[in-house]
Amino acid sequence: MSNPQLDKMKLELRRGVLVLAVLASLGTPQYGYSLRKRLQEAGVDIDEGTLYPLIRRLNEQGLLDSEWQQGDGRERRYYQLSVLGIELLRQLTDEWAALNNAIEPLLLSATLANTNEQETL
Amino acid sequence: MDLVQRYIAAVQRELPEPKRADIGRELKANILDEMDAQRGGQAPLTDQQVADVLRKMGDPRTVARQFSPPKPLVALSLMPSYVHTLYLVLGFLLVLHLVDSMNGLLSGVSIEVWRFSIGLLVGWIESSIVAFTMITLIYCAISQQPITATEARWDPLKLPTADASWQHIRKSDMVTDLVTHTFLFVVIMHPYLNLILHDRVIESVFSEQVQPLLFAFVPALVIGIALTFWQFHRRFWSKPMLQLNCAINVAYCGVLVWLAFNGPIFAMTMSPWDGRVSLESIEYSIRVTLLIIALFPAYEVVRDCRRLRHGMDQ
Repeated sequence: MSNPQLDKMKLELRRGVLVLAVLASLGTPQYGYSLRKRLQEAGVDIDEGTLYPLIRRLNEQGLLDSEWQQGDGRERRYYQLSVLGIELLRQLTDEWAALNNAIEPLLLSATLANTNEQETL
Repeated sequence: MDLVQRYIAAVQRELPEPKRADIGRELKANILDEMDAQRGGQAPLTDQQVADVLRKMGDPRTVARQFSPPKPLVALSLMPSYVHTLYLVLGFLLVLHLVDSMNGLLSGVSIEVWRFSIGLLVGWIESSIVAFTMITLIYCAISQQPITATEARWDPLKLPTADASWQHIRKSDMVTDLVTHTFLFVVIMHPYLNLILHDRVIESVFSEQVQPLLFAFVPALVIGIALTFWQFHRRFWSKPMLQLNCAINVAYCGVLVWLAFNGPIFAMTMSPWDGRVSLESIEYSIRVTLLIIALFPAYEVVRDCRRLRHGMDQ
């Protein structure tokens, strides 16, 4: 598979997962940069141009509450899950767990099949 | 700092007015945080380092699109219906302009084909621009509403049968048929149309010898026009539709062949290129042309008969 194809499919795969990762990281108030660092430390690398607009869109959808606060001599916008966001995160987490349980055996059998095929060759 | 301001201004320029101030404020806070992290308590960043931070933020246009994704004028779910409506309306307008231009051409003292063609084209383009704008605005307004009604209305039991690919009628074929039938209808009926529309008596361009047959052919043209509207509604060939199309093409073929062997066709007393081309040679060219044109409906008759014989399931 060529790299552009892989990049495109990775992007599609990550798109939905990133929303889940962002929602899961906003149980406590975070501003843009602190959230990015937090996700990075957890192993979820997301560039600035994607993360900041994403938080804003989630805020506009009512999933996050936001508040401007002064800190370190300048203002920052802090985001935290709203009541609706908490409920949605719970449902999405269940969905993610169910999906993960269903896909993991499929991936495992696909890996085993590939290994067997390679050994035969 | 100047670079940061310029970057924020570049993003804001791509945003809708109500969102500019708020997104600009937030973007600035994010960029300053990124710059702080880059600096790590050291000396202020150089222009090159600031530029690197901004490069990581992304192209201003892309960032603006991420913050405020553009909404298409017509929703994707309405696109097939939108395109179908455009085809239908623009095709119908072409027919109307054809009728109008043909009437002008046939009523005129001199036959100027270039004026007819330019008039038809300009008139059609003018009306099409207005129609295109109106249809787009209507679909734009519909796109603003939540589209759930049509999705809820569909019923698997009402789906058409899974037919062969040829059974799907192309829009371009429908428009071509409609234009052809209407064109011939106007050409044959123009003395009567003039009498009705302008209360003016004019001579037919056809000779008296062929006029009775042409008038007998008019009902086939009217049925052809009606068939085209039926096709616009159904969009796929059914058995009765195919039989009717076959009958109309037989009529076309018969009339064209009869005309080719029973001239003169036009009521001309002298050649427009008198001295260079004789009337006989023009009539001969017309006969050959008619026979060649007759091959097209003949081919369609054979094709439709084969499709009917194979039970519409090939």
